[in-house]
Amino acid sequence: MARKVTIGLEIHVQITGAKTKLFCNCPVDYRDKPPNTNVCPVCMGFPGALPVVNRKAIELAVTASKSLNCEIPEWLIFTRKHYFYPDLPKNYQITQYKTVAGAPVCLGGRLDYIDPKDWSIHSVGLDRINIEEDPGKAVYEKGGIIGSRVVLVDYNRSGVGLLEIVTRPELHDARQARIAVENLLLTLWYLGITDPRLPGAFRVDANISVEGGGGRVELKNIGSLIEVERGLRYEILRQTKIVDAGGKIARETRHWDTVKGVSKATRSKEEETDYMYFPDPDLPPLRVTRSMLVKAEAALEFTPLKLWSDMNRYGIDKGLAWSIIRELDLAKTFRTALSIYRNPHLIAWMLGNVVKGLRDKKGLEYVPPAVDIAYLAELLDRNIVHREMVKFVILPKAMETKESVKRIMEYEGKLPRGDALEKAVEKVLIEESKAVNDLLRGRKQAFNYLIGRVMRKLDGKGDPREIAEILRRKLNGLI
Amino acid sequence: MIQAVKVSLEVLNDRLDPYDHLEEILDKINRWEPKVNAYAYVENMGKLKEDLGRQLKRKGRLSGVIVAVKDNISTSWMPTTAASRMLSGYIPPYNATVIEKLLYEGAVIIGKTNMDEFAMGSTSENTPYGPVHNPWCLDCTAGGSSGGSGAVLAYGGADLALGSDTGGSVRLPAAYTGTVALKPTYGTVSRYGLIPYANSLEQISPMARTVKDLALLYNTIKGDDPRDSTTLGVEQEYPIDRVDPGKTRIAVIRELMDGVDEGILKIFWNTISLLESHGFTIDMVSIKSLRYSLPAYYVIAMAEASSNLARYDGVIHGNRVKECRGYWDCAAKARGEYFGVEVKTRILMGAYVLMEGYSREYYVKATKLRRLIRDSLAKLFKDYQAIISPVSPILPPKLGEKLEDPVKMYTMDVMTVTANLAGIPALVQPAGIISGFPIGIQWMGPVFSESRLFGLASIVEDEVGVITPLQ
Amino acid sequence: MGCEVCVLTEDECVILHKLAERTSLYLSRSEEIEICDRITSIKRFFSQLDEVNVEDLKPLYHVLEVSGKTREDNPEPFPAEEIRRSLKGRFRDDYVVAPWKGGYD
Ligand SMILES: [Zn+2]
Repeated sequence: MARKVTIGLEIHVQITGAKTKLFCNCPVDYRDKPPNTNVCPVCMGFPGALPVVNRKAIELAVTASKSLNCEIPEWLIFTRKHYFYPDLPKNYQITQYKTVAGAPVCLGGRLDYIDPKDWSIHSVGLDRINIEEDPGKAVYEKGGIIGSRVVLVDYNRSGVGLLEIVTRPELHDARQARIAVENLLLTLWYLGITDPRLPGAFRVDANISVEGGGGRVELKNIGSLIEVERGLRYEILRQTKIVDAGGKIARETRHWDTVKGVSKATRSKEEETDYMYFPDPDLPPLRVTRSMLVKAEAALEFTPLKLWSDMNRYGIDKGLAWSIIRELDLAKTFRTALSIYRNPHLIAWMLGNVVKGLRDKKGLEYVPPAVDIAYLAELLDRNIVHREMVKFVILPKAMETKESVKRIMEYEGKLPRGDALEKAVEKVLIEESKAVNDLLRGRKQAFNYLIGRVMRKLDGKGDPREIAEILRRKLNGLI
Repeated sequence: MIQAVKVSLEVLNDRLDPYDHLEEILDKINRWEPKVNAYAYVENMGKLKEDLGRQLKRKGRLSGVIVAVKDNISTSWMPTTAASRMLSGYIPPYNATVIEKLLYEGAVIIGKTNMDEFAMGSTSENTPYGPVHNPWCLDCTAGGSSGGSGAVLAYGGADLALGSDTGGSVRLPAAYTGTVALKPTYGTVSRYGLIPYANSLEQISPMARTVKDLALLYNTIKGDDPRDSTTLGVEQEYPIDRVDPGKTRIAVIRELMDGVDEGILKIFWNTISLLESHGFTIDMVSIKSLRYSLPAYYVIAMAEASSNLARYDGVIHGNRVKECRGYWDCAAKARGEYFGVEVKTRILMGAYVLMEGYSREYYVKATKLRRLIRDSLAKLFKDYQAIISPVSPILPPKLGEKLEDPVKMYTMDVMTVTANLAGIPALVQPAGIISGFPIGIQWMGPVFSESRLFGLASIVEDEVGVITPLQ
Repeated sequence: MGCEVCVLTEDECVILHKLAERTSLYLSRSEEIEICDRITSIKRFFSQLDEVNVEDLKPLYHVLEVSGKTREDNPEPFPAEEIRRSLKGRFRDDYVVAPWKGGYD
């Protein structure tokens, strides 16, 4: 029987956009380093070592909060949250919390997200965003978290800045939850806050309840977008079956086992924990400065939703638009190419259809630079090349060889080679001595005339910018 | 005994052999330590000579000066145990900022001084090294928690000493050992490397035998530290001010005069007369909120302590126990095994005052009182330039006397905790001797008034003379 | 641990046990009796705070109320061998080894 499902998410996102950890100068990039080599007295919690806030991390957190329509307090307050765990060096985590004088970087707020099924736009409310430190990484031996005798801890990750983004319980199915998270990560990626492709860059915990079940279950340890949907589906089904059979759902924490595809109860005695929150005496409140807000505002120029509405305005096919928006490098290339040559349709087609297609089919990651894409759009417009050529020859070659588009065009005989250009220019300079004289006397129009003559000599295949450059060089800077 | 301010100069002018100076100090240590037990660790002679040779080359203002450091200040080459069995054998991977500053100026760190475990205590008896004995009265306490640093200075076991002051921890020992100590304005000295007890209250604090030496040490260790968010971005020197008695009104606070021992009162009022004869105006005033300083202080201190000490679970920090099963059991057993009873009491009470349902009534309320106390004092300092008070209501207790009832010990801090709650500087100096005990007085001033306090103390010191060090 | 050892009330004794659990503190029976006494005394001492009304005041957590510091985002790796030296004996294959279901072995 279909029952109403209520889901709230708690998404932990690493602030990989900062170069250092939240409270010390250790690098954020802990991946692939030998265990316990990316640590210092601060992030290992040595007695007497003190935290100092990384300004960049705060700026990024403020940017995230702005982009999610939050209320940002004037003063940020860090709080100690106490619990004993081997991966937590101080046995308290520096975080933010609403009560006991806490002031998280974001209160309230809203995540707007695009549903690629029908291109509708939805919203989910946010409860808050906390800035906090990541714990170390525990590796369990034989027997895993249930039975291992010892735990081996690597603190390289300890102290990396996290945003804990907590939604209101306003989501109602697994797919929707996955899409919301995907959109959120995309936004944070655009804003330079995190790189969601890095392993472990984000983790999701979900609170799930099914109508008639009673308690809500916290599902922990979801590490990828696919797992969000899979884990939630499993848990919803599990709870629904129990409720349908007349049972009740106990309030508990369950661990999502990715390998087996099941959720398991962790500790049954899930009594109300008291974290003994109080403001960290080592960290005075931090003022959110005007310059932080200005920086945040500037960053919001480029977000997936903004690009989406721009692309819609240009009339770009929605599927094509989405395939570009989903990948940050394509989106950035689109934006830059468009600023060079204004044909959004051609640029979108090249990036969303051709480049994305080659990426998906052949695994080619390289994206030609925006100038090349803009240049190709111009050549297409001027009928110097046609779409088939771009799609099957030029772009595949560019992506495989990382050669410039111009070079490839030259090889393919679509553009005169450099020496041909030079020769054409020299010829024109001799033939058009009158225009040259006019130019030297200051008649600017003569310059364009000369370019036109060169182009005609090359049957329209030359690049006007390049011709202009050669002309200037030949005229020895006289103009 | 030579003043620390003269050592580097005399050494430079070949009027003092720094090695003789070091040996003289080591002799005193050998003579006194068996009785006093003020050092938790003394560096061996060979290493000290090596250090001295290197430090003399620095030609800093402390070149050749021998400094004792409280055992809760991190040194990367010497044990730093905060007098806890929990940390026995611990050698930090880094130096406290104040240690870096001392080394930069050419000082030699001779060893680590005994103290109350994690600085929790007022008698320097809660220590695995055995209690510190007061050199003035060997079966008396030297005060705490920096009792070791005070005692070492009293018998000449160092030129200067560092302590830490959370609620009077350098001032009580100074009062009991006839030495001088300053609890600086909160945020003027870096806490980086100080094993924390109550972060919002404490400062690493200089101790010496004379006001000039005290000012020298303070000016060496003070200053903004990018590693400590609570240090203030002020860069200034704190010379000894020449205080104009005609322009200086001094307050005596009624609430800090309750239940004070008669001998202590006698010295106190003598000092008042002396100051009046210099032309100072002295008034008695009342600040009602100070009646709650002591419980407010202990609530805040214990809350922070409970949090700071959570890290000692045996995994990264703190010693481990062999017989245990599972992380939580191992942590609880290690903590049960290696913390002393005073520390355990404060951890438990600290958790209690922070617990949901209790924190409003205790912790939050104490922080509100803290505001009231700070603001009342700030208001007083609009009309008065300084406060003078006794340091302790009682003469040094006999060893063992205070251990039974914790609250009895806490009341020893009743006059000193106010400065920590308000973040203001407080200086203690000897003002006389009664029945063989040196008696201290305490100066307090508004934030950043260290120079004025040095000046006021100099006036008293010039009159009373430096209390003759023990021979 | 039974509550009969406490001079505290039953409720208070339950709280003591809860506190010991929360702060991961193993107390022997004799220690428990001693600490019960101490806590009773301290609680009486703290109850002085009941006399005063400060409802209208704002809490003060940082005495000088200045804005906190921030630092530049410049990586500065710390020498790992110093950490190693300080934590000698706690490692297995570069990892810090901690008990999980068993003890240290
Ligand atoms: Zn670090």
